[in-house]
Amino acid sequence: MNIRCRVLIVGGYGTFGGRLVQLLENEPRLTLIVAGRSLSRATTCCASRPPAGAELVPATFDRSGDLAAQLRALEPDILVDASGPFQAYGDRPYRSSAFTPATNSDPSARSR
Amino acid sequence: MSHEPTARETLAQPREILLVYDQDCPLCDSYCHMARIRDTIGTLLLVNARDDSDVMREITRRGLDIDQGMALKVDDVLYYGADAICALSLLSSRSGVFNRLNHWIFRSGTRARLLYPVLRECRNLFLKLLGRTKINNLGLQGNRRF
Repeated sequence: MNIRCRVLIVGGYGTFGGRLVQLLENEPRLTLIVAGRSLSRATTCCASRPPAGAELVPATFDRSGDLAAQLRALEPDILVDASGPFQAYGDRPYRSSAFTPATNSDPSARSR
Repeated sequence: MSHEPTARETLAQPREILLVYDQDCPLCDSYCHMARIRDTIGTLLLVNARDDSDVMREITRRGLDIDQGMALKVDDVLYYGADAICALSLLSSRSGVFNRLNHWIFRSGTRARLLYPVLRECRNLFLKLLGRTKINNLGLQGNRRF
């Protein structure tokens, strides 16, 4: 069974995150979860991309929300936090990344 | 006893996605009833374009002819026609043959724009055969019949 690696790009419709999506979208082994606080912006970003190897999935993700629950729902294997403005990260700049190992699981064990 | 939250429970604010289409069209109605969005996104609400509603008034205010395309409202953004079907496919779940096929075909905006006019012509033909009139939400003169 062909199981894609799920990459969650927070801020995936922004300047930096959007560039990452462009660079990764031709890789057929990836599912790119383009996420941010605005579902419509994530959807518009995914719809604007040409047909590519990777599967693009729009989603909502709020870095200041319940990270564990959001990550459990989205089931990423890799998290890239490209949301900005970077100067507003506060005193816990790596908060979202710190949660990722807790949700990481064996991709082959997934039901979908 | 601890309770593992479901995907829907993790949503800070459950979101309603509105899909506005002509429920007199049997093809559109079947398609929209089979479409499912992912649990993590929210709930898909089907709105009959022939009924008066806030979203229909918004569509009319924006000058969109609902006879020429369905509409999907996500947050404050209205997707129309081919864009609506493409957005719906991106938000759809991958459960079941229909949703997987729908996603595979329409996830590309280019493919959606090529195929949507064909689907719209099928819809128009069906409604003509059924003797229905257009919705004509923009109130254009002489635009009642197919």
